[in-house]
Amino acid sequence: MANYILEVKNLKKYFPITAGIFNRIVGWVKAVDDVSFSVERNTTYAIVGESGCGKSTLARTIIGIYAPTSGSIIFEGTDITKLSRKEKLRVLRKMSIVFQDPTSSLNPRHKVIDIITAPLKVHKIGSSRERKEKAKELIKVVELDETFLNKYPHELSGGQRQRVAIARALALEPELIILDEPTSALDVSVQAKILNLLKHLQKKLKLTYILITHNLGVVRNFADHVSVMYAGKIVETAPIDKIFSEPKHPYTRALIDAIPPVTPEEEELIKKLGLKIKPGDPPSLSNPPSGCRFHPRCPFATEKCRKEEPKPVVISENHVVYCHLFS
Amino acid sequence: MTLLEVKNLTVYFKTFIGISKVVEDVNFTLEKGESLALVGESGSGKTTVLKTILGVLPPNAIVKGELLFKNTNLLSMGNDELSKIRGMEITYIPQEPLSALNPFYTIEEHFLDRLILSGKPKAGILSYIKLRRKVPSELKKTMLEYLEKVKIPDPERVLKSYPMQLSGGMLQRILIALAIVSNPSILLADEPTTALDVVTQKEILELLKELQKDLGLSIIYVTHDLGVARAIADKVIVMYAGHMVEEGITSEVLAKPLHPYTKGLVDSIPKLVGGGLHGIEGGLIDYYNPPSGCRFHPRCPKAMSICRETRPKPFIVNGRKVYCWLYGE
Repeated sequence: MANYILEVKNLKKYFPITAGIFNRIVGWVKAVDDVSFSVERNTTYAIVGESGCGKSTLARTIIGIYAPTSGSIIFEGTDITKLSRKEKLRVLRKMSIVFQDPTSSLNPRHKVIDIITAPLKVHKIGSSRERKEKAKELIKVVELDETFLNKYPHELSGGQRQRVAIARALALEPELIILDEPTSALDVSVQAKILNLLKHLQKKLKLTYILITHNLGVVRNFADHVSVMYAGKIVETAPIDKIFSEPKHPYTRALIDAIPPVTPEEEELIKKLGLKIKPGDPPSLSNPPSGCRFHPRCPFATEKCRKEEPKPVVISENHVVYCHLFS
Repeated sequence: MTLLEVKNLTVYFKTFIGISKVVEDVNFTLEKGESLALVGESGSGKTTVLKTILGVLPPNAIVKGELLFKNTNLLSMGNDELSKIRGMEITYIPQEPLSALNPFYTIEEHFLDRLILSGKPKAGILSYIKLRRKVPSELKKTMLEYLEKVKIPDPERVLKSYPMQLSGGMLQRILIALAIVSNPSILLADEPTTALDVVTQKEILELLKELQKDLGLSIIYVTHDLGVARAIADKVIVMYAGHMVEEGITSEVLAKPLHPYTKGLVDSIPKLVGGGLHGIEGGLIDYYNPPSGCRFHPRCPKAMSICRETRPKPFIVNGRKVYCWLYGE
């Protein structure tokens, strides 16, 4: 039995669409619809998908920014959706998040030291001197020096800002960190350095990561396990080497196909695994297609795909695909 | 046939704290039907080069060098002459499709303005108001024709839509259609796919390539994504801190980069085949007080004493231009 730090079971998050002066609910945006996955301790679990597939909503629901519509989030054996507010805050202390754009996730009117110590203040940990010491320690952990503590975010470069955001995420000594597109606002040479830092921290502090991203290249080089999301649902979940050697779901293969290759080796791999799909956009989440949500764009779609929602099919250990082709 | 020749292009900006030396000595040529990618990280001056060609720099810019378009220097032209070329012969696709279109205008109104600007039909103020009220059917036919050229499904509905009702991919297609209305010879593209998802990005890149072939367009494509550069461009220029560092056939440059910066950049990209990541140490330079010699020398793992003193000349290595002393005598 694997040691799971987090288990998400049948999680749903619907947002109401309201109309009229009485805010009558006229429909639902099903941003996350019946998603289940488990994250092993000390590993990195990646969730990939295009914008609007619900991956960020999933991250925010796990960390408690949104209340789930239904389903359970089991963190270290306790279901946090069933806890009272006070108990929930205690559990959530062990989780933190790094947002996508460090320019907007750091308060421009606060100094770095205040940004890093903010979580400690919220949870009333330590005296102000102890918090200052902690900030000095944290800024070194993210490979910046103490002089940065008295600067404002606008004085820092994008990479340095993201380091500050990571330091803030580490302030409460969490066990699980959710990385919501941590490098997509950065240049590639900076991205490589931030990813290397995160990897180093994972080893040193025994952290577990959930990585939300749209970049399969980052997933390949950073994660251990991956789930591919499409229109609010997981379509395939597999260990990293499986997804880049034998991807099963047509959407996963389409995502691989869309990557512009940089080197000849990459081009060869994409040619081997990729699949061309019909042009189009992901469906609206308020009125998703019936059956398999991918069927309007899938080259293999049959009558069954139009009617029945696909059930999970186990391909090999930990490799599950939601597609009628394999049942 | 050489369409555009950029000779020793230098762009400085005068600001209240000094002179920002952004672009220095950029040299390249663009042939008819050729596609060229300018790649580099943010702040490397690639967009500044594009804006100089388009002639939309802010008034504090100091531009030196020559921009020869069909053998006439764009930099010495007056505004009247320039407006016959800018937006007509040389057109532009912006980065953010949603902010490039006016949210209060329908796509049809955008098209009408663009058609009038490109001189078909000619209209004064009164006839313009008349046209705005009811678009004649032959103009509508032209609009639909261009929308079909960029493969927009259901063009009739799209013409009546406002920008916010359409997806990013659709808007980018519309901007491409607006850019090719005047039968340009050069299309300047400033990261047109950065705001899009990978699947949509691929569709747009394929469309651009097809149009390039059909219309004989030359494209200058600015991007920070080396994979995109490889997909769209025959030739690539890698820029670092306002200097050119390497120029050559895109697939060759990326498969075997010669300049240490290009190599660092290629090694920084997380690849599907795995193989780990290496960033480049250090950060971007201060343009007010740039490093002497090769601007990359403070971050270069192979820097020598000559790199600190003298700017490298372009050395020809395997049919490629490399601006690095490693390849000098």
